[in-house]
Amino acid sequence: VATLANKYPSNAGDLTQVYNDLHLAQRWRNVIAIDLDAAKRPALMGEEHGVDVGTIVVPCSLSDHLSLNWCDFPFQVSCPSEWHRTFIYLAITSQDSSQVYYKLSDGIVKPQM
Amino acid sequence: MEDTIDGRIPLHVSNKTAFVWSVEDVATLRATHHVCGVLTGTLPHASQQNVFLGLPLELLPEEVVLLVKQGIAYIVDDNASHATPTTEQLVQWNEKRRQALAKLPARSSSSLPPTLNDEALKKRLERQQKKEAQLLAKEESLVTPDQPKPPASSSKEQSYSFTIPATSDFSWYNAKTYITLDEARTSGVWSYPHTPEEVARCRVFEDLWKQGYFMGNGLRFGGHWLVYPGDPLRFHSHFVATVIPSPVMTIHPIEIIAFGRLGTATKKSHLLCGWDEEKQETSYYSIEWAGFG
Repeated sequence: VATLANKYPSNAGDLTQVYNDLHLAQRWRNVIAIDLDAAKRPALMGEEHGVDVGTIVVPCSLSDHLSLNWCDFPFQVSCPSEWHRTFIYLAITSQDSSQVYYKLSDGIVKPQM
Repeated sequence: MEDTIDGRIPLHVSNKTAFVWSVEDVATLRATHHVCGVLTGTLPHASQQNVFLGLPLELLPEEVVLLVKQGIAYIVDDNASHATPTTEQLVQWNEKRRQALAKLPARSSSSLPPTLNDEALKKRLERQQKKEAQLLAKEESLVTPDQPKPPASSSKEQSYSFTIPATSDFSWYNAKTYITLDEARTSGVWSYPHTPEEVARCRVFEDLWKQGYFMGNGLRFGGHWLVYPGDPLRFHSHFVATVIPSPVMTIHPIEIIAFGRLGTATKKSHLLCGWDEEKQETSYYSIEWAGFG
């Protein structure tokens, strides 16, 4: 986390905030930081509490600028085949240290009942 | 009204809005081509309500583009098709109408709506007269000598029903039709799509339509369309769709939050629909709340 925070200083705050939240509050397992080189930003990979399959989480702040091209990058990251490849979590942080998580799925995916 | 062209459905365009006036065409559009539109006609006897609406069916501009492009419909310039009638035409039309009225069969007792029998009618008359007498007695204490007394109401009332035709034959009507969108655009009748955003909306709409979805207006849910897996009369929508006209167009995280919250609160997913003009491809991402955090 520290290495990538140094590499991407503009995303360092979001990265550490989300890492701490996932690791300590959400109790995810095996949370590691990964480099989304193509998107020029860091992300996190880990296993959600109570779920055996890993997922990618991309931290961003409220002032960030996203796009559909940007949304494509996390789905191209190589990771173990048993991990979730059809969706990622977008962790949106704000200056009051709160964060919200939204599920971004690739394609037309029906809402869960 | 006018002959259909190759079995296509006429879309009557007035002020850049397309309407369908035939109930058979409305049914065909819905059942065969899964295009629903919105009924916008008010009822003559209840014009200030919008719960029960009838013809005409108003179509979304994307629906018009799709139907004309697929060869399912053609455009009729409604304003240009209705010329001002000459005096002779009006006289002929009036004469024809009088002849049609004269040909109507005389009303027989069997064709009249069922009326009350004599005894029931007598009792009703007595009740009504008693009520009127009470009303008059009450009003006499209030009514000045100069004021006229209200007239007695009729005891026999029969209801009649009239059929108001949705179409009619006018000799001064000459349909100005356009088979393709380019023809309609050249003549100034139809100009949608005009901007890159509108082009993107048309292409995404077409792609969703080809996948079998039904679309409706998404204004109530903060999107461009509601996307239904089947007929809206049978299913709730699963998605609220918003079109992003370019893959590099900025999307703010606050918009993701708004889309996600509204979608989740209404048991839908928000669908971000992208159109890439260079690759001529659509792309989709579904947003919903993660359920934690």
